[in-house]
Amino acid sequence: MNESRKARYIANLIGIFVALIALFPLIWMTISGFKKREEVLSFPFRFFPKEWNFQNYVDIIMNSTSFFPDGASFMTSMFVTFGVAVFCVIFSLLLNSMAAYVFARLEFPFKKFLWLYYMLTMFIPGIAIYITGFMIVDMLNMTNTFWVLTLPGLAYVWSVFFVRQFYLNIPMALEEAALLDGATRFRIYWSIFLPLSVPPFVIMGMNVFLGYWSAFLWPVMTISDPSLYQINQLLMFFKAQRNTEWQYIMAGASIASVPPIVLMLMFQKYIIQGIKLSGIK
Amino acid sequence: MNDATARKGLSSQKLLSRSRQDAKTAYAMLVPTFILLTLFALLPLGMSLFKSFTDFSFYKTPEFIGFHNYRIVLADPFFRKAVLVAFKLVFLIVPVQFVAAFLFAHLIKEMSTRIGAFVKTTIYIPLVISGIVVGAVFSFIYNYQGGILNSLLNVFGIENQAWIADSTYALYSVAAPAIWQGFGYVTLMMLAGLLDIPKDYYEAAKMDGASAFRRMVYITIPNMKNVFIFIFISGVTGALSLYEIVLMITNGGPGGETLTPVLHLVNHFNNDPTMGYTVAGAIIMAIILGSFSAVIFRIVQSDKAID
Amino acid sequence: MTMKTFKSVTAMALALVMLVSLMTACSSNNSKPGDGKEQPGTNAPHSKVVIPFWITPQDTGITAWFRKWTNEFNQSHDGVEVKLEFVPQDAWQQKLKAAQSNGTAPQIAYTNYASIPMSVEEGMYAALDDYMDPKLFEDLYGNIKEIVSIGDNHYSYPVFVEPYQLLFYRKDFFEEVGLDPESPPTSWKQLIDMAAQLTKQGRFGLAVPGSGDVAWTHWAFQNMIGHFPISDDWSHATVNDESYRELFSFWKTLYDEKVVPKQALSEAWDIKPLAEGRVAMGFNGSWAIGNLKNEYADIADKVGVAVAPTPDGITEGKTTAALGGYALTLDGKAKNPKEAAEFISYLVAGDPQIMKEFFETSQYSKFSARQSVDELINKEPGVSDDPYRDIILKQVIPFAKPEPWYSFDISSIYGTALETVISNGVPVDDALAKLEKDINDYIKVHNYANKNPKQNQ
Repeated sequence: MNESRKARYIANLIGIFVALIALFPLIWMTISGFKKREEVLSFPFRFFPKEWNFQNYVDIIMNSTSFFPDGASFMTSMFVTFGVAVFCVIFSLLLNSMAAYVFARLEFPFKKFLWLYYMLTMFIPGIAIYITGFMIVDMLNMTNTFWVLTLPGLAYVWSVFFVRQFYLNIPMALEEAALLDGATRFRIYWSIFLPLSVPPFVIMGMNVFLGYWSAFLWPVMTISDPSLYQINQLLMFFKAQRNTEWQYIMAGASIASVPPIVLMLMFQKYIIQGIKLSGIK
Repeated sequence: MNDATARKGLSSQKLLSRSRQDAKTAYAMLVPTFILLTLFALLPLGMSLFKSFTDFSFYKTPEFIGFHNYRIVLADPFFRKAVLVAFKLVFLIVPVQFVAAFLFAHLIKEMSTRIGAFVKTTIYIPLVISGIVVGAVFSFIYNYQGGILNSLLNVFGIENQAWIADSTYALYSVAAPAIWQGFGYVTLMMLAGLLDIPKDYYEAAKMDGASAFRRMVYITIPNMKNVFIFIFISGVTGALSLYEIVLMITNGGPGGETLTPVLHLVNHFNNDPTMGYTVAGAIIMAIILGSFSAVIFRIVQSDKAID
Repeated sequence: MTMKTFKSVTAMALALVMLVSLMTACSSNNSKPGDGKEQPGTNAPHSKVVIPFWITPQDTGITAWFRKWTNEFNQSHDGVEVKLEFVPQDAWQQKLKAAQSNGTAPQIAYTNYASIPMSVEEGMYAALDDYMDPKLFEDLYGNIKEIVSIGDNHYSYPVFVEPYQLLFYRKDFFEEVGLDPESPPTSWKQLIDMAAQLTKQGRFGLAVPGSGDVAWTHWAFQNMIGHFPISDDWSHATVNDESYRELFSFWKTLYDEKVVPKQALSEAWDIKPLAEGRVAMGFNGSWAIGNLKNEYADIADKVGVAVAPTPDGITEGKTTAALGGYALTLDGKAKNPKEAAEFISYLVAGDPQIMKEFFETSQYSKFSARQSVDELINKEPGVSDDPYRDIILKQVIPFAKPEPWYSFDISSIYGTALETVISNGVPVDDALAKLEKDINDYIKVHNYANKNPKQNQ
């Protein structure tokens, strides 16, 4: 008993140390939001501002900076980006795990070819398909809509790959029993595999959420309607060629970091010990 | 026909219809992702590939120029050096991240629930911070005069080091933030993999008297193989595609020592009046990424992981 | 997570999706970005010509200026609407190329001078002469008029110019070490000597561009020594000669003498280290004057500006700078070139008062390309007394030369070569020989000889 108490104590200590290192930049960023522009990156390094300046945060939320284009609003952007990200997380997890199940469990003609087809997309660098991708969404008349922000990245083979590796670890026994009872494959996927997917879903889910939450280049290329601006796109208006409004970027980025962190707080508890094998032998 | 053969005959019939049913289900379940991938990934790739054989311009009629773009890219010493830099980064980043995350994941398992929850959330935070802020943070750390690292060294009487401008350090200075940012993500993946292993296995082994080390080698590692493969491949791909961090900290310097392929290609995207170089370079990178990953698959092969 | 929770989450998500889609579908007008057509639902009685005009984010004053005068133009010109759109710097090229791909490139764009000639070769920009009064180009200073022309045609109209490098220096530090604050160094040797005197613990004598910035900041020095590393007809490298040897050696000496920090304390265009007293002198461009006045007002009067030192110490009437800046361009496939050019004429080539306001908002730290505007500005009380302005207007801009318009690759190769001398200890002669070879190789692979669109000027 004493051994494990000691082990836990040490683990906690190291954990807190590492956590603080990870947390430090976030704290610095948030505090920098209270500084005046020159103070943010000044030397000598000052952690706290000379005066706590709430105006930056207020300006951003109230849209009273001159840097946002007409019709763009910080809070609207937060909502729209959140809507996009949540939509994408749910459907990405669903669609990609379906593919993961198929590749992990089913046998069918052309399986190898299809797996290669899917895998190929994992290695396409973004630069290779920005312009031609734009040409396609333009042909489909999708630009400036909710769909151009969500559909192109929805099929995400890294997700398929990751979830598949988890599915490969699920023992056949569970399925055989269900199959004997006459269940369809889809039913097995829906009722057995999905519930067991929670830990990989949390990880991939956060990954996908962050990907959409921090999207910048694609939204700039495809969206010119200010009411659809994604949050990172909006914050970049503070950056001119030689003139970065650091105080606003820090303040804005701090506010923008709240939803992903809150989500992570809510869902990290689902990364738990698997229980799938208990009772089956 | 007795009972046994009747049952056998029935089951082989069932097998046949099940496999046909399976195929139908498989295709049906693949349809959404298949359409999306084709439309938004493979079709654009095909178009880019096609255009890479022309002098890709939006203002003049494109002319077919064969492999000219590819020849230019491969002949460019900057590009070749960038690929080398990318592989150097792979060997710097992936092993460190891998081992550190593996160990730390074990640590998290040992923590009390509250602290564990706190840690799980905080190690994720560096990923939330956008590249531009990461760049600002590290410019503070690496600044020559008054930066955090150098100030610390000065306390011990060591003189200022040029973390970014000195070619001895530059690559490490770029690898560190990359490791730092990805650490949380990889740790969580390791953790998920670890927690996926049923406790019973360990209980049984403990009862048989196996030491902690033997438990790790014979239970943990084999069961984590599938997650390991994923982490490895995504780590390699990520390291080979490093861009924003390098842009923010060294911008490819000094003298191209930290110029990564993606940064190099984006520079060309921004500076060239035409797209030829950029697209050919990107496709070459895709081929390099794909081939390298295929090699890794072969090497780390396990009968459960490969089709 | 149980089945029930999953189902309820999915249900909530679908509800959210429908809500968001409804919201965005109703509010977005679903037109293609940059359409030249009228938006359905507006109540213009006849079809309006919409002219997209793209610009990168600017500071508050300049942003207001663009908005104000775009509105004024739109109101006074019936049937034409110039649509101002700010596009983030970091995505500019991608968004631009994407728009070019579907024919919706902005008809007017805010473009830097150096990129224009090669883009014109691609057909990206239209000559303005067909649509603008030739007299408007006569108003430009001679050397600037050269920059925007290719042969007899003009392909852009300047908004402003900003010369670099200039030498900025802390007069108070000069006094501190016994140097005359009104006598900044004029030769490279003097610069090194004075920098040595000014260097002490916690402060370097001189700030120079770091590795990422050598490639472009050295255009100023290349102009200063008289020629680019490549011949005028782009057929061979011209870098393995005495003047480049002198430049490379000078640069190396700065590091050898330890009067410059081994690692740049900031990006090249940032005056912050000087303002913070971490360096005593620094090379920078005219934009730094604006930074000083805005952000570092309390030490601004302690900072002196001088012409950049030259190899032989003669700074009167010499080329010491490159001329950067931005101009307005007309897209090669613009649907309404006449109206677009009308706006360009109105905004930057028209009533000098409008441009004077532009320069006023930036506290005269940007400089005009037009003589008429400068005449107006000089009448402003207090302006002609401004010491900064005097030096730049009289001694720098008239002699400044353009930034190069050959591929940036060549400048990168140059930058790398110089860095091998500094960081890897390669001897100057070897570095120059290799640089010459590298540039010649580049010319061969890219068939660069005689590709200079302006070589017969």
